[in-house]
Amino acid sequence: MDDDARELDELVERWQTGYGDVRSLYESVREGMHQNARRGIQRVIARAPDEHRVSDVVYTAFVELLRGDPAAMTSPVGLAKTIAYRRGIDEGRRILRERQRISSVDPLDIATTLPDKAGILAAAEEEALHQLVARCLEFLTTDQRAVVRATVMGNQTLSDWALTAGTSHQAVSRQRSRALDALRRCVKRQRTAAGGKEASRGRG
Amino acid sequence: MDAADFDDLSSDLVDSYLLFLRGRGPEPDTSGLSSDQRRRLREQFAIVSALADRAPALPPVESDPVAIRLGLVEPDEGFGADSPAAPRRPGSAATGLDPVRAALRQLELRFDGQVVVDHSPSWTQWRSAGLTPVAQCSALGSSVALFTTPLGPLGGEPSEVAVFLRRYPDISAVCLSSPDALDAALLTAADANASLDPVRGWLEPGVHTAADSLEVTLGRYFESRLPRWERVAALPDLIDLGDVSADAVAIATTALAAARRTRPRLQHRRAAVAAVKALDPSSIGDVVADVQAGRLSGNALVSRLSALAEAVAS
Repeated sequence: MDDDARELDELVERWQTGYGDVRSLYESVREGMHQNARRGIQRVIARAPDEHRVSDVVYTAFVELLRGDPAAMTSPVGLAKTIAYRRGIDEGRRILRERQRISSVDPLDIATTLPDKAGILAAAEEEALHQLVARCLEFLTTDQRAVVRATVMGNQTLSDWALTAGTSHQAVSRQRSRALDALRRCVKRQRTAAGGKEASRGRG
Repeated sequence: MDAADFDDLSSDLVDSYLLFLRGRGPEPDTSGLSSDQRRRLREQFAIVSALADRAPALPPVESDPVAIRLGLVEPDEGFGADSPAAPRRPGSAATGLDPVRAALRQLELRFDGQVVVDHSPSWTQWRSAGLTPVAQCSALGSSVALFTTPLGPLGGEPSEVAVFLRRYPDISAVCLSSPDALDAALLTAADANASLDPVRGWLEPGVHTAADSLEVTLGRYFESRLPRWERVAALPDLIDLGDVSADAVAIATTALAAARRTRPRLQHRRAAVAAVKALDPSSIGDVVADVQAGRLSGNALVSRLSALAEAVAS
């Protein structure tokens, strides 16, 4: 396990046992929560959401996370992301209803049931992977990093980016493929190295 | 398949996967690939999923709007931590500040003064056993009366809200909040009265209403009420273009023709199309020419457009 993931686990453990502070918890989950809130809204309205809406969703989801019992949570990081995603979907539906001026008979889908454990663990795993990927991004060339930031992390299409960069669609497309493959190999190397450290620590 | 071909194919599949993540397409089919290529793609998809939708980058936590709203950091400006308007830690009364006032202050900041909060509105003399008047929030033609209620926002007050809205027709909606501002619901006149559903029969007042925190509830309401003005980035270019009257009339003619071709089913939309038919494209061309010549701007422009709309609607 690498240092960032260990630090996050320790923080979550402190919070679960009542010794952590809310700000540190928020700092560690905010990026993933914003990502999933955006994704949830976007999944319903099929376009990039307004950032005020995203903030509303993250705020509501974080307050909901704090209302839960930390000790009973499988993974607070995964749960934070999962709640943000669900509330994002709720917000997306609300936006659609506002847009269509529909006065729904059913109350909005504010689900009260906890999401399933597998979903929470998958969200936590994705956040751990993101920590590795974020570090690997620094090893890409400037152009590769730019195309990944614009077309994967952002909402630009390859054609838009090709126009911005003054090159062809095919060149940008291949550049991004090579960048993603470089990231894939880098993550693999980091995981292998972390596995080796863990093993030697276990022997020690 | 050589490396370049695989790069092209994987890029297309990554695009499809991004669309899938954003709910705009099915999960891409990788069944035609070799097992090694599928494995590489699966690993790339995991990376794409971890990275997607991370932009725009978040500001430092000190200026993160959510952290400020949660009371985790001090806001940079507008009010200090010891001001009654400072936000509170959610679910905690440790700061001893009034959370309702804090939420209203955040609302003003969020809408950059477009939402005006009046703490002594004219209807404060209205008395009810369960509702305490707090303030009126107004923006353009929408006014929301805010009350706090110890029972929580949906504790049985909709009938009182209906009476209030009949008594004060200038108020568009009533917001009921718990004193800690964590639960609030917004009721319009339609929400505050019983309604008839073809399937379920009579429904109780407030059945459509969901509670959320005060700031989110009011923010959502005004977000949907306030118009979004697109910035006219090319206005200086328009001014330097020379005579554009003919082009403006041609564009207005095309746009109006497209609107007239629509065949809406709803009565009010049919009325709107009929009104559009009465609109003369040259009157729009005149507006553009006046804006370009600097004769028309700001409120005068809005008044001119209102007059045009009223003329065709009457």
